[in-house]
Amino acid sequence: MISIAEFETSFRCYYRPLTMYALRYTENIDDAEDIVQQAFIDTWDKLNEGKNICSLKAYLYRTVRNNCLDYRTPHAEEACEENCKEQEPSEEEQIVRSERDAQLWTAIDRLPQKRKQIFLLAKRDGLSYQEIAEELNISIKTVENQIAAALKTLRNTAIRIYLFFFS
Amino acid sequence: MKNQHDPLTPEEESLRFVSRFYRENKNNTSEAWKKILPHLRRDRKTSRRMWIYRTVAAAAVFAGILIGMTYYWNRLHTDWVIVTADAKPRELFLPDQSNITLSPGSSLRYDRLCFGKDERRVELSGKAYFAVHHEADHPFRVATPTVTIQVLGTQFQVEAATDSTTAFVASGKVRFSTGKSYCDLTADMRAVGQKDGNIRVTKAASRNELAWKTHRLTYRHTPLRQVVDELEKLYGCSITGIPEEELFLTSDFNEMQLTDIIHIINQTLDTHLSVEP
Repeated sequence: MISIAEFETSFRCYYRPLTMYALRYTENIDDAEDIVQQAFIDTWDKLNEGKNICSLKAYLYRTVRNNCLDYRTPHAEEACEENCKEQEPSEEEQIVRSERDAQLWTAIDRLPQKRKQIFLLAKRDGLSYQEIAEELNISIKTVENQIAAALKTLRNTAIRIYLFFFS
Repeated sequence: MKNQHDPLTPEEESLRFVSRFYRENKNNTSEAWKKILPHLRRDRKTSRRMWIYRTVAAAAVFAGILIGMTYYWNRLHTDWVIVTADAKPRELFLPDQSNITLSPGSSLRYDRLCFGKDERRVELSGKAYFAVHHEADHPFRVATPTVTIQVLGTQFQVEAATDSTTAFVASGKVRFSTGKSYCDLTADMRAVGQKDGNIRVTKAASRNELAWKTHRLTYRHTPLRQVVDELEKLYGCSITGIPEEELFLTSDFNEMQLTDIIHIINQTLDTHLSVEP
């Protein structure tokens, strides 16, 4: 029987990687969060019923995956096309990837406000440097510098993870 | 220069993916925890393990109650052995091999279930002579309405009346107690315990008190009047022909008939005593 405190520790440890893992299926952070939260609640109930779970992490990933597949059934056809093109990496690689994604999400959280804004306008919203410069009333050079700085920070994060896992 | 068509490194792929779907103020772990915490109910279903614990606990409690009841029932439940002597003295043996002689009209009882467990306890009404085995761990107790006599390996006599009890110790040591006080008696000591709790002790008392059991009378320069009193009491008769003058008798009588005793006294002291039924 697990205590709430122990469960919270696991929650804080796996929540972001799991949402990133779910995000691959849902492509929508709100739905990903809902799925992951529900997975934790279901797992808690199972633990309370006396179910013996060897690896909580593996169990959670499997539960999230099952919930995602249920979620995607209505859009099965489109999804299959997308997925079948790129070969789906192995389960282990998916887990590693989800952890890397989580680190990147955190790194973006931590970007200075202005830099984050500019970065997202360019990489997420697809604005051109020109459009961003006009929107924010700054020079294009500034936009370039800010994005370069952001990428430098984020790439360092990614590389650090890469080295940590594979060196 | 990077070729646009080179496959992306995993790091690059992650970066693009996360950037694409990133939203500010989303994916907050602490807020998510607060959100699910109310849904983590403890008592949803009683797991099988809990059920087992509860069953074992209930069984233990039930067993405890059964054991308690058995002890209590044993306490309350008694198996009295009652022995009464009618016209003649009656001898009996207790489970510990102690020997008791009951005087006519006396009775004794003990609980077969507890005798010898912590103590060896008998209740007496009337008069009885006890020859008790020594058992250090299990004190022998004679209970009368007024007095409790505790004994370790002795020979003694107890006479229990309604308002008082008299004990006479032949050998060994006896603790004689009323509710109020107690006294230790040794050989040839005699004590009377009253209802009011007082004890009166006589040392070097005459062993003739035990004659009904021992069939032995001892006189050492004893006044004739006392001899006659004792004989009358012992044999339940009336003796006549007692002279005026003070006469003293020194003699031992063992296992003798009253007529023979009277005959010897007459011979010894030149008297003319006779027995009237």
